[in-house]
Amino acid sequence: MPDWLIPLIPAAPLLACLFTAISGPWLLKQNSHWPCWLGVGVSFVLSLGLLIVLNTTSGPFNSIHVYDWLLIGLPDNPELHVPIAFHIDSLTGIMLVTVTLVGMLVSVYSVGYMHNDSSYWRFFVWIALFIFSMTLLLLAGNFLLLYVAWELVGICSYLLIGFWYQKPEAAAAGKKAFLVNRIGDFGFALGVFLIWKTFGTLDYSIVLDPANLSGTSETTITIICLLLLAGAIGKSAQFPLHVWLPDAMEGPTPVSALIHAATMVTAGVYLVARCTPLFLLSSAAQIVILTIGGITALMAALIALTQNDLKRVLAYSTVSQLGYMFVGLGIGSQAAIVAGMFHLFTHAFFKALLFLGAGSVMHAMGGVIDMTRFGGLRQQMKVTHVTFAIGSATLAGFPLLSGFWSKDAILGALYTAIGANTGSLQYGCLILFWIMTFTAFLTAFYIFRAYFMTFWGPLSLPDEAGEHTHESPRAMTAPLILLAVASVFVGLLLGPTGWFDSWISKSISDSLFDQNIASAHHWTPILLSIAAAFLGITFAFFMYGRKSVLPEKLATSVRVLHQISYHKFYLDEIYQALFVGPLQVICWGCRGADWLLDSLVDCVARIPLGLGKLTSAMQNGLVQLYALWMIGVTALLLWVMIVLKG
Amino acid sequence: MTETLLTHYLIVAAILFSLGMVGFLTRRNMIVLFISAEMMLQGVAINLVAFNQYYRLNGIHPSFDGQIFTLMILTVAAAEAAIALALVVVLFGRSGSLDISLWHHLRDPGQPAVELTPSISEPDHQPNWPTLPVAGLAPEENRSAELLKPITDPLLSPEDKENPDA
Amino acid sequence: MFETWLIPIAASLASLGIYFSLPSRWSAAQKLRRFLGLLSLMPLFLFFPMEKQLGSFGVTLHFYLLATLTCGSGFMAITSRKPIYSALWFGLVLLGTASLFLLIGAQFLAAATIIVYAGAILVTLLFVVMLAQQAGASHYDHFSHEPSLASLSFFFTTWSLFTALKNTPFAPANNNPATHLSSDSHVAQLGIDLFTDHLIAVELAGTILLVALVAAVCIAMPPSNDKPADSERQTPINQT
Repeated sequence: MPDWLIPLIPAAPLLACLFTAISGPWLLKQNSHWPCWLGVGVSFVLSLGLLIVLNTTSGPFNSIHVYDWLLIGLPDNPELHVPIAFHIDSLTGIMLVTVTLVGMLVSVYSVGYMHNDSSYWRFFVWIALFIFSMTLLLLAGNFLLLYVAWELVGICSYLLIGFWYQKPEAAAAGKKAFLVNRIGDFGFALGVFLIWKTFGTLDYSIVLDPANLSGTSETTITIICLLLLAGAIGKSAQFPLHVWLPDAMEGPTPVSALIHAATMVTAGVYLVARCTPLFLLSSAAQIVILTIGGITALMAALIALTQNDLKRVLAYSTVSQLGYMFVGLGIGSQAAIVAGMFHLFTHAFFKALLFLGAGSVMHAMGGVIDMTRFGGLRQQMKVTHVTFAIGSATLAGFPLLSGFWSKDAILGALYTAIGANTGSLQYGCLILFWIMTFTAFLTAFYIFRAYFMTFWGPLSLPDEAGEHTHESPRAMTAPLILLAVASVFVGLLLGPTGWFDSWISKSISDSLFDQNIASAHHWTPILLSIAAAFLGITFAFFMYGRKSVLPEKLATSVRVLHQISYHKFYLDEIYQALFVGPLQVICWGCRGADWLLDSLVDCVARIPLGLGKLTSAMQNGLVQLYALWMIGVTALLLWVMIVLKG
Repeated sequence: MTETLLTHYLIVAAILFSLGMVGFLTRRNMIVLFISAEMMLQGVAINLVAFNQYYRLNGIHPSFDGQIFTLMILTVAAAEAAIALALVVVLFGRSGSLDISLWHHLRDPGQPAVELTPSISEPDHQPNWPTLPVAGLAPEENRSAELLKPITDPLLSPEDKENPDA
Repeated sequence: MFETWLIPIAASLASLGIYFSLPSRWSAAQKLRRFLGLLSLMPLFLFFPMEKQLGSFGVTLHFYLLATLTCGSGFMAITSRKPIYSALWFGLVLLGTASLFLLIGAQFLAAATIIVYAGAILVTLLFVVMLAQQAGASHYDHFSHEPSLASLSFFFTTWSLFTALKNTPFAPANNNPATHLSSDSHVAQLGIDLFTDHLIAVELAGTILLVALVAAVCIAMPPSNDKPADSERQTPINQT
């Protein structure tokens, strides 16, 4: 594949974005989706081509230099040399295909979903910009370009969450997403600085080469890893910085599907996977990843149990599944990392499917997404119902669907790790294993709770539904069907066949790992995960599938727990009190200082004003006084000239 | 004509000019304003004529230029008087008084107008002028009082009414 | 002639006198004000040393009388509270000026001053006063604008003028005895000079007067209250 086609992967959506931005309002109007389709389509085709080409070659790193961006210092021995260079390997390839495919499907879906919106063109501008940023992030060949694309993706997220900016909740959610991401990005930036200070360069090929890393001290590597992890935690909504993702549901549902399920939030996982050589050298960082991943997975699943907003259930589900991926990456064996990436891959499809299905329901219900206000939509929306059911089953880990394979891979790797480690690490892995299995049970329970509440039971429609209680248009159902098919078959085709395994191993090679743990198939984790899934589905059926008083009884009997879960562990309130409140006090103080300085400057301005008032007292409209002043001063001058000067 | 006489004439001219200047800058009545301006012109005229006669009679410069200049000043003063008095009449027609302080409209927006009414107390009593009944009509008390009201400025202070200026 | 140090003293006394004499809100008794005002004229006499003759005794006497008349009338003209008295004092100023012209030998101008100024301008002034201010005095006549500043300007002006007078060297007189009462052909000579060397000025002066006449009529004309039945608008041309 000729080298010049690779820069076209990010460039095509960028051109689409610019073209739509310029000509959207007056030329394209309701056809604004065409440039976006074209751009993302070109990207997708090229990514597929890239995948096929990479399949045939074997080299791990392919670098494509596009442009010499930063050259600071002497030309032959620069202090900092950052080119715009792309780095292609199998990890990049598979993620590019995922991103562009989901991007395309969401673009098609948005045509139907955003049909009557007044800012139709603006939506596609931002979507195209986002695809550009995400592909740039995946293709970046050095840490600085990665950081730039990281921030770009954050900006697109802000723009898309706050798409309906006139709504104050949407604007606030956009701000919250950006600011919380910024906290993580601060750590990320520090990590990049430290990388440059340690290695003198930001290039992947040098920094991520195990040969170069052997000379560096472990504390430095640990600090670098923890700082990079901070960025990943912010972007991928892990435990301390996850608060933005549920609020981000204020944005349009295609945005949630694209960004907050399939692509942007996986950037953090991609970062950790990319920096595997670094993370492998620091066991402290790996323990931190495991801890945070585990806490996140459990906590998010607990919160999702009691939410009534369908999109919020799916948002917390995303957070929880990302926790799974981080656990996979934190274990540190090749099988585990491959499992984490595989889960990312399958999760993209079925979570996008679930979100788009929720969007379809929301579209039909006239904007209502509170599950308590509608029910029994099975008969009304057949395609949505079937696809949502398939998506829920996949998420729950129903056997033979793709979610089962990927989740099981992670649990299997975790189980292997228990055996492979000793001492406190072994106990830690054991506890984590049980937590993950319990979370799998909770996952099945809450997703089927959502499914039953929405689609089963007697038909009840909210008032806003009005005329709209019919199936969604073809633009919306076609992606749903495609994604449902993908959810069913992709896992089957790529997982147990070992194709994905060998694929990812091309870039995360065996040589990185000092102990090659044979990925033996243990039956225990498989059986446990199947049991957890079925238990979850059964519980959900008995509580929500039929009319039952169990939900209320359970809620009132463990009222405190229910409240904690319903209020998201009160984390928003804690953050408000700990961080936002004091900052607002400082803000108030700064505003006071600003007022003071403004007043001082005003005083300086008032001096000529005052002087002017003094002299303008002369101008009171009487010509005699004007004459008096003129003559008086003339007399004085005359006197000075004649009498004093002689 | 001696030099001393010339100097003395010039002193008189200077005094007249300065007095006219002070009057012009100070008085509020349009007529007195005009009179002061004319007085300034008189001072200038005396100056010119004095110089002219001095130089002509002493044979230094035999011409009548100074006096002719003065004649022209006279002419222009007459023209100016006509116009100025026409303007005074118009202004009086518009404002009802000869006060020049009433015409203050070109002032700065923030400036207060000059105090137009004096802060002297209202006169307590009207002087007891004798009244005559209207001839040819049967005398009625109300009518005669009405018709024979003296035309006075109510804002004059009593003492000024008692002792008008000599 | 006179001492340099006399000038500021005289000027300050004069300006003080002016300040007190100008109409103002002071409720000081009128007589005191008059006295202070007349006091202002006293220093002017410092300028007139009696021992130095101004020519002959007659000239000296007449000059001092007329100078006192003129200056005193000028003073009274600007400080009177009734405009009618101001006008009459101004008439006396004109009389004094004309007499001074006569004294120095400019008879034509003396006559012209009386005829034009006193006869035309002053009379018009009196007409306006009679039409506009029958009451005699109004409240605004009792107040002046900024008497202090005006007096100060008077002070500086007189000081400067007198100093300039003292320091300027005039061309010396040649003490020709026959200089005060000029020759009989003064008016004739003036006429010849006027109508040969300054003819254009004379014609222009006439034109100015004509224009002033027309302008005065235009300005002072009341706005016409035409009924629609009147077909022709009243224009100045129609009127004149």
